[in-house]
Amino acid sequence: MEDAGDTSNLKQDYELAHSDIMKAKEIEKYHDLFRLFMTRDKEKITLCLAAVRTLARETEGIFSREEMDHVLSYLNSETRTYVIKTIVKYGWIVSNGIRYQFPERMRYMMMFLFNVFVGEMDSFSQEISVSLAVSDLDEVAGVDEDTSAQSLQMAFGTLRRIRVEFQSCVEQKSPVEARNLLVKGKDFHETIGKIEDRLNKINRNSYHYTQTTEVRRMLAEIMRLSQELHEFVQQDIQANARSFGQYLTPEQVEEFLHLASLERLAGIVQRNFSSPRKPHFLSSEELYRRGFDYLENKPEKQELTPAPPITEIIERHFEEVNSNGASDMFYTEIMNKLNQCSPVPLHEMVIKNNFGETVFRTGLLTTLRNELEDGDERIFEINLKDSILELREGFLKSITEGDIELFDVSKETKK
Amino acid sequence: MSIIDIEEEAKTICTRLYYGWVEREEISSLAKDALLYRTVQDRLDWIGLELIDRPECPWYVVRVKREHDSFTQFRKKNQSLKNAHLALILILYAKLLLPKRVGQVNINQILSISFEEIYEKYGHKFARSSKIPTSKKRMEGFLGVLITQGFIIKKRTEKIYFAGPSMYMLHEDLLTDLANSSLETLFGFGDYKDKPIE
Repeated sequence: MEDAGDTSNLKQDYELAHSDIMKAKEIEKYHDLFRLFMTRDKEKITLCLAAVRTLARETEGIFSREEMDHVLSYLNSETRTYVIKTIVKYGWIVSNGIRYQFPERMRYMMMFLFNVFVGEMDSFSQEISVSLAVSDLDEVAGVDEDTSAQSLQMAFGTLRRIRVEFQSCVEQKSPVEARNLLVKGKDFHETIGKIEDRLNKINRNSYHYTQTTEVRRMLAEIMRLSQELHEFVQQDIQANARSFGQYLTPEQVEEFLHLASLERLAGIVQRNFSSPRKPHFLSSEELYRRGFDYLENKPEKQELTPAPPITEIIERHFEEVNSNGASDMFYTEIMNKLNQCSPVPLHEMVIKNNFGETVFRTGLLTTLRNELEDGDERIFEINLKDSILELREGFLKSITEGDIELFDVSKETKK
Repeated sequence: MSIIDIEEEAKTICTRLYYGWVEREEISSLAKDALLYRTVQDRLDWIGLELIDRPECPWYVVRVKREHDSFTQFRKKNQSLKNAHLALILILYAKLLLPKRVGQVNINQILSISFEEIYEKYGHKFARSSKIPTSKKRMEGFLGVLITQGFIIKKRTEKIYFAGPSMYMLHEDLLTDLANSSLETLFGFGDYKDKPIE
């Protein structure tokens, strides 16, 4: 490493309370492990790493020198030029003459450095992919075998750590831990598939291959542990409904409702379906009777209301009255009228609104008179005048005027 | 209260429960008298019914025991309940009942869901085909069937729905089934069965 310029400036920058510098300080203890730069100066390495981290965080992958200056403005100008020179020299960023760029591998490296050691990662799959990227980097860089083995060990160390986490969780059976692991190991199975692919790619003659069997064994063990964990969670939910809330938030349930197909949702309900019972709006007596029958195991049927008691009906002899006939009824009618007032006008007795009835009554009157004359009982007399009576209503326009009179006995004696 | 009185009381309560659901306040004696409660439970048990008495449920509800109940039989009589309705029941269950049962919400709180929320969030699931979006009328039709079956209760003036008595009749295993399948979907439970590692 070249002349470092003013050391006092470097010191000042090293003491800055910038978040990237603080983060970079946290991995100082691993510097021996990596030998990232030729120098052993702790402060310089820390500042370089902090600068790389800032660049990775705040730029969009490709950037110019001016942008770089702007982003790194928290450093002293001399320190800045030194840092940029160093990271370009060691290939942390690549220049095409005008613009600078991170190689893809460096991104992984940074993620690994700052995330695995400093603070936890969001998910296991991320962690594993970072570890793999590091071992990949070694292979490409062509470092000596010892270093390569070391970094590979570290990558497997991640797996080992994951295994321990699963183990402790299964042993402790604490829902909170289990929930965290569930979230972390979300795409775990896919990632394991990726690792498998990677392991298959490794050359059978290389040093790495000897360790693949161990990795496979470890992966199988992790799978088994995660399976155990899943079973534990399922049993826990089955035993206690309240623990449901510890594993699944309402948002997650909603997410599931969105993701799952209609048929799947329907299937879940169908398995636990209970036929709904509609309320019947019946009278309380009816309800009581029905319920009683049901409880007594009687067949349900409509009960008929009892028939009323049989009563004797007195028969009346209508026939006798009717046998008198029309002429008798007409006779009583005439007699009633004549008893009230003696001469009754003929048309009052005979004419009705109905033509047929009028004719019938006229016929009745003549036959009645003939019959009575035959029996020598002259009870009433019909006096007819030859004048025409005009009627305004009814069918008949005119009729011979006349009246009916009670037969006066005193008149006959005079004659 | 003598035993004969209890028998009579139990008979009336059983009758009322057999023909529907009863509000808790209407038969408050059931909650107070343990012997009466036991008698009612026994009576219903003889004829293959279960008394559902959950703290979050505002009614006393009765359901047919699982071994006597069959969905296919019910389907034969009620053609109106299709797959879409069942899925909607689950969605509403997760919204209206699950938080109470799981303990995320206080039991006394009354949960409700508005028509707009259902339509916006889940409307796309009930579309006739992917090209035609679900109409509001179609959605209302689905909800109407659920109201007649008593799964939800609609507020008279507004389009707001509450959990109905039939919702409480669903078996408790629904919760674990829902949990299992959502864990499966979200966290890849059960994937290892397909891809074993040597």
